[in-house]
Amino acid sequence: MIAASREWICVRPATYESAEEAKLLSKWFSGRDGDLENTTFVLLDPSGNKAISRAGRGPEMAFSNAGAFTAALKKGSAAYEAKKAERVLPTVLDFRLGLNVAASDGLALVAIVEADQNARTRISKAVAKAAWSEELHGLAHYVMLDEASVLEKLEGFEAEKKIYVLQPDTFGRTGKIVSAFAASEKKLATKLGAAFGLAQIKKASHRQHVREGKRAGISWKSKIPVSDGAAARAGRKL
Amino acid sequence: MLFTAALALALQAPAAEAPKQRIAWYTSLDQAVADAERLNRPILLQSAAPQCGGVPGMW
Repeated sequence: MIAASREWICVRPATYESAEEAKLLSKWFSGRDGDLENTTFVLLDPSGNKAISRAGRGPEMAFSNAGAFTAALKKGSAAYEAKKAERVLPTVLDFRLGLNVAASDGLALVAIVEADQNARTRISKAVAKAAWSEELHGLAHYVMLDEASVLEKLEGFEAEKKIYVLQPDTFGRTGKIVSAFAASEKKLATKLGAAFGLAQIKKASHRQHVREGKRAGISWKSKIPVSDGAAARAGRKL
Repeated sequence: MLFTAALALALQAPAAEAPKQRIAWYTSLDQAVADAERLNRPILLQSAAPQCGGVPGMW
């Protein structure tokens, strides 16, 4: 399934973190009461406007088993002739969410600090080339920053560097800089790969994670209200 | 069960040992649709909230 997904553009928007995205997600799937659920799944054509599978909370609502899902992925990608072009660097909406998403996956967060648009494009292209390489595929999340104020207080900050690899704490509230690189760093992919290894975190089970989080009084405030009844009730129990 | 486990692997965190292959996710719909159009690739959309029981750091 993961190999078949390489021929697709796989997107995992964070639910309840953007009103605009929530509106688009609701267009594809909403619960019985019409509200946006915690998760939404659908396969779309390359325009993003036409569903090519049944929508639901997850692929199990559209496909009978993993084999059927994988077969649909292979058939779906073969239906469109791929064009050769470089992929952009996939970035998270903001630093706060970036740390949370990276922590949720147990992976590194790469923060690129650059206000100048031309320089930002150059760095972004260099990092994207590494990010989409076979070796680093899916091993980190990325965020663009205009300035370094959120990084300055973190251990390992070096003002002259532009590319920071962070290890998030397990709840994604803060992070530790494990490596920092210049914009023109040589052998960037190799160095990023080594840093990603250092930044990975071992996650506890769901049950243990939630129990420890609740015990420590840690909670997450989403950008828009959680409308999934079960998820909202679980949050209110804190 | 296998189906659910495979999806969980794609969506959730690595346990003791990181999987050799992972899905590389776009996290922005705008970026994903722009690249899908440029590359003429279909889109696999799976949204998720980065919180479990209101606690961040877990899908």
